[in-house]
Amino acid sequence: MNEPLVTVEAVTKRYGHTVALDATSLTLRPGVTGLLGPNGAGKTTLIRILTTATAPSGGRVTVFGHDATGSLADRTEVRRRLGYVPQEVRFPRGLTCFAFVDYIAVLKEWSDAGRRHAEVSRVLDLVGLGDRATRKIRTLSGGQRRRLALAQAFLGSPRLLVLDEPTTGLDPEQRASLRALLSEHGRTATVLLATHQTEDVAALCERVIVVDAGRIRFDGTVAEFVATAAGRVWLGDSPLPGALQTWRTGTGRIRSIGGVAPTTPVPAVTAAEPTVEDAYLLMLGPAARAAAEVAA
Amino acid sequence: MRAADVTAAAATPPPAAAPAPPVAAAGSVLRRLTGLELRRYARHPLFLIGAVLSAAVAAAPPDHDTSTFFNPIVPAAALGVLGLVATASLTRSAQVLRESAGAAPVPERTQTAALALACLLPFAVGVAWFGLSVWGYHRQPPAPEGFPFGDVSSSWKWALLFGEGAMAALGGPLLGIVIGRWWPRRGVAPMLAVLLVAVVIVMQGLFDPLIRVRVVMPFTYWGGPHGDPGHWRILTGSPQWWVAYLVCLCGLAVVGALWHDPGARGRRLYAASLALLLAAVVTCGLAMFTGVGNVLTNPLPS
Repeated sequence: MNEPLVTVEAVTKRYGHTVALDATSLTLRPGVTGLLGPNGAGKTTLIRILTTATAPSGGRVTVFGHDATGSLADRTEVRRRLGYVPQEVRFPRGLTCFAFVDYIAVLKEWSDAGRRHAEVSRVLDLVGLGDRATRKIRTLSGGQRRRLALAQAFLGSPRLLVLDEPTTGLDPEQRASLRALLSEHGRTATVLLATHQTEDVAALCERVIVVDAGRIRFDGTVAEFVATAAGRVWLGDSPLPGALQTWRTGTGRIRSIGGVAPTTPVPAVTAAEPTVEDAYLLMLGPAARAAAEVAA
Repeated sequence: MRAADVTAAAATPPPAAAPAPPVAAAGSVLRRLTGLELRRYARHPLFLIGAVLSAAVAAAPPDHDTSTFFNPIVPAAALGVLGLVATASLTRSAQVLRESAGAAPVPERTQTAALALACLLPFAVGVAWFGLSVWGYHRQPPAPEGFPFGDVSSSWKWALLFGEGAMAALGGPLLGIVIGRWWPRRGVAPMLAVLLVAVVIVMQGLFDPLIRVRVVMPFTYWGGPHGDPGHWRILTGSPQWWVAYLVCLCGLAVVGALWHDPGARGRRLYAASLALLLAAVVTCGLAMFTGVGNVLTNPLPS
């Protein structure tokens, strides 16, 4: 169960002179892995290569022992074993929820009508759209459409589930339901979750990979990632001098991340418990980048 | 912190292959997809409009002068031209569905083949219309001063009706798939449909210098009124070979749509496209230069 199901070896992707991924290597095992990074970091490129939607400029990707960058037969074998929710999902007009998932089920080689219809009903129930199966997609809310996009990815309970920003547009209750669903799925399958929502990573992922400018900046457990911000987050009545980022919290206190730690105890300033977001901002936030540029 | 740029992938043991989900035979998937596409086609408003219009014309009493020989314009427009717009839209939405799945194991070419097979639905309506038109002709043949006249063969007459009506009901939708695959922007198909109609109008034999070459068009007339007082004319060429040419064009449309999938561009498709292209040139030439050699004019005024 613990052997890597996905192996990415020195994968590079160039678009003209732009390097979207630079000799990236990683392995994925069963469990939920978060993929964090700013816009344009290379997350979607990495995901599209993993799911065989895009060919890399160099390197090799192996999924379940099949070369995802190899022959069409190999790529087809990979496609048979994965569920994928792209970042942007469009829906054709006029279809019902059931017809939408049913069509995709046929594209995923579910040809037996009885089994296919049962599976379509199962995944619609799974994402909470079972009672809306016969509704036209155009009548659904944004969150419901997002869940419908998720439903197709669960067809056949794939052992590799790749989700590109799946929680966008979901309300808190829907996000909690999705987390429950993904955590359950992640017990036996490999789930890769690309997101901007650091709270999803904190709530759901065992491991986090941070990508920036086409390179992996961090790869470890969520606890290890949060630990990178330990002792660098403060709460006080005023911004900490030299802090990389500060904001007034709901309690009226100022949260400062980074900056210079007080050398002598200051009653008004207390160390705060860091979060995934703090660690992310310290690593990749605009202020952190500016500081890094100055240092460079 | 593990400032990990690289996980030593090479050091990991080789992954075990996961059990594959039940894989359907390619033919079985094609059948299922064709069923779904047929259902989507049958529910498309433009197809329903086209089918109703064609049925209405087939049910109408034949014309005194021309019996049913000038009726094919209705299925050609209603099933062919509207079908072109309908299948372009269905092809676009099929692509949207494909993209929604992210990466589906069923290749684009299977989806294209299913869309092409779904075009048998408007073709079936076109064939039914053809049958009714032949029956209408037998019920009320054209008057001696009408069209067609003289001793043109039955195959000439049936080929005319079949080519202008039933083949247009197949060819238009197939062309729509090509447009939907290669130019998937909304609005392109209606624009190209209007352009096609405009070119067809010019090439229907109204202008004498274009009479012989008009058969290159997927729809053209084989006769019409001429002069004042009017006399019906039969134009040059062979509608039998023209039907063969249209079959080749339909085949080329399917090949053109399949060609969009890089995975489909194998030796067989290449050979098929060359063979169809050659056959299209030959049959078009035969349609132009065999059959009726010179324009025939009915001596009786209409």
